[in-house]
Amino acid sequence: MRSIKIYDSKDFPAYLPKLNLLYDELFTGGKGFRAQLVHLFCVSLKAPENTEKLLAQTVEFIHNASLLHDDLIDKSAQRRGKTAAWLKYTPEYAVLAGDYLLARVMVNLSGFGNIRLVQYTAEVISDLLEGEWLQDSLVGDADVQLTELDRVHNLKTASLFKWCMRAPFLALKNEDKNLHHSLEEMGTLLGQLFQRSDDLLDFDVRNHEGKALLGDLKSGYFNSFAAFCTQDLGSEKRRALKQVQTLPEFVSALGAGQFESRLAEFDRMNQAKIELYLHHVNQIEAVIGAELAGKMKSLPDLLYWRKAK
Amino acid sequence: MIANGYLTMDRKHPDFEKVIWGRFSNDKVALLEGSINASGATENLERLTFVVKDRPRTGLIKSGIAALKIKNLHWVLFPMLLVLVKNIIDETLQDEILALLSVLGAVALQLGVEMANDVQDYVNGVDRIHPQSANRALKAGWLRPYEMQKFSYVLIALGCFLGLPSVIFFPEILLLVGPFLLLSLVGLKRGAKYQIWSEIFVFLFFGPLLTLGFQMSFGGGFDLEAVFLGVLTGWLVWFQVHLKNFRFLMVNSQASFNNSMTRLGFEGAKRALVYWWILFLVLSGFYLSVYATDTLQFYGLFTVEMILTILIFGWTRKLMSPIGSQMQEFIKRANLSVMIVMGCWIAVWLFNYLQFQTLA
Repeated sequence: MRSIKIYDSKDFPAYLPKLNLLYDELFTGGKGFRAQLVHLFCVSLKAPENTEKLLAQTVEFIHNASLLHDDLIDKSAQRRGKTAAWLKYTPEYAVLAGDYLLARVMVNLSGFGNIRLVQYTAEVISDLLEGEWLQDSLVGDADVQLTELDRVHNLKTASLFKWCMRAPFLALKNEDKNLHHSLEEMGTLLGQLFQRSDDLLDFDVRNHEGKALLGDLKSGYFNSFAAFCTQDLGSEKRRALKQVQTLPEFVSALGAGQFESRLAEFDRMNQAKIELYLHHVNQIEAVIGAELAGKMKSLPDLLYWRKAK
Repeated sequence: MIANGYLTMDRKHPDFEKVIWGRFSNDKVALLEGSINASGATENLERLTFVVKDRPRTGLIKSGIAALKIKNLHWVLFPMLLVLVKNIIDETLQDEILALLSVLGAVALQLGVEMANDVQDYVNGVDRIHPQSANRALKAGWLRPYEMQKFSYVLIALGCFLGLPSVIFFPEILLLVGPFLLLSLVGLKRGAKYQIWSEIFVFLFFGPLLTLGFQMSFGGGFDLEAVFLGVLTGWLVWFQVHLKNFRFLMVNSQASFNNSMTRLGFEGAKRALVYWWILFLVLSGFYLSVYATDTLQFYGLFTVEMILTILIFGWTRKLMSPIGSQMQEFIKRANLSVMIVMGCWIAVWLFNYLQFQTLA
């Protein structure tokens, strides 16, 4: 996948140096996965270069705006190996910078003149914010159920995956209902798989990036794997697990062999989701072409199983 | 021939009806796949995904029991018990066999209508976004929708048959219940479940219409007390319907399903639940002040309800989010409160019955 330049200096006002500095730091070091997903679709659909750039920029702007707000809400000190914006530039600046990105999205998209795309993008931003809002209410909840987390992640994580897949078609004025239905389902499943895999990193499962362990649990948040592992345990044991500080402590509190068996079950459950995702890809293969379909089919390997390309 | 695996179909597909009703094969079933994509539900319910697999072989009894929704039977049995004891004490119970038949008829009708409702939810695709509420037998593929629909018709017919003697002896029952039953069946068929007026039907059916129906079939004739009892029982049932809708407020709102809770929103719904309960307390206080013969019973029941009102008020104030364990706990406690109230009323009514027997 080629790298995409998400923005250039003309995108933000030159008379706001602090804002530009903040964005320079924020946009450096990210994988730009969402922009690359947009790129895959745009190439296959032969979308004009400026359309692709607009879409890639839009999704990265929304994603990074959500990171700015997310870090502040979660009180995360680090983002992409650097000090989080709210700590470095004050929370007020971080909020303003996030809001400004979302405003730019609307300015850029409305200039493109596709009202359906503007509407859909606004809906996705609403979903993201709803997800953020709801997730905050689950912090400290040791009895949260996996289905509830899934619903939050569908708003917070999957909405942008759906956007990456649907927006190129909308930009090219293809509003075929069946196609968008399948893309919507694919985005939901892919977002869910990505989130669940990300949650597994907390437990050092396929953690090739060396992400810090038990980050969610230490901040009082039961992520999808923690909720799945503990769903058959009593409330008291769940609360006790919330207090653990290290992974070995978690594994031993869960019980010998339990961690491995729950992980195997979790993987099996998600493999079924992958099969459903592949079914939806097959549904639209005739529209998106065999090449793109092939690439789409390989995404769960990358996003869930974390197999390097 | 449809192969095992996933299958996505549009409602306009010529084979869709066969697949959704389970008529496409003798040895395969197509189970509706759930999705957390609730927004734009109208569009989402037009194109459904199924898992096609070999039909699981299960005994008819096991399938039948799984298909019956017995958890809501107290909606019929509670008012029945109140009216029955009332008629025994009033010495207006004319014919025990007739009474028994009408009770069995009402139970069969409720089970049948619940089953028909489950089939409609499946066929309309509602189970796609509410898979947790789907009928167990349908979800497991033990019964196909068309089989379960037949099963529900048998139960409804049985209910009507068992109620027939009461209607012959007391034809006014038909005038009272008939039009509403017909309207609700038509509404159910047309998928009018997620409309606010359908909640009013629930209130009427499990409230005044039911208690009056029992009152008449027990031989007591029209009676204002029976109407009042119906208002109380219907109010409690409606409260439980609100609780269920409140529990799924987020999904129902995303899906644009229309009910009182989605209209009011989270905070408004919380307030409405408290007001609902307070109004029950007032109605029950009024009923007890008019009809209770024993001061101790009046104060006993009223005190229990008052304590529960305060508790429900406290629980709703603490509830901050439409999802999470706090919500689950609230729903559990509020439903338990309804059961406690019903239990207390039953205890008092049984005590009155025993007292009456002793005196007699």
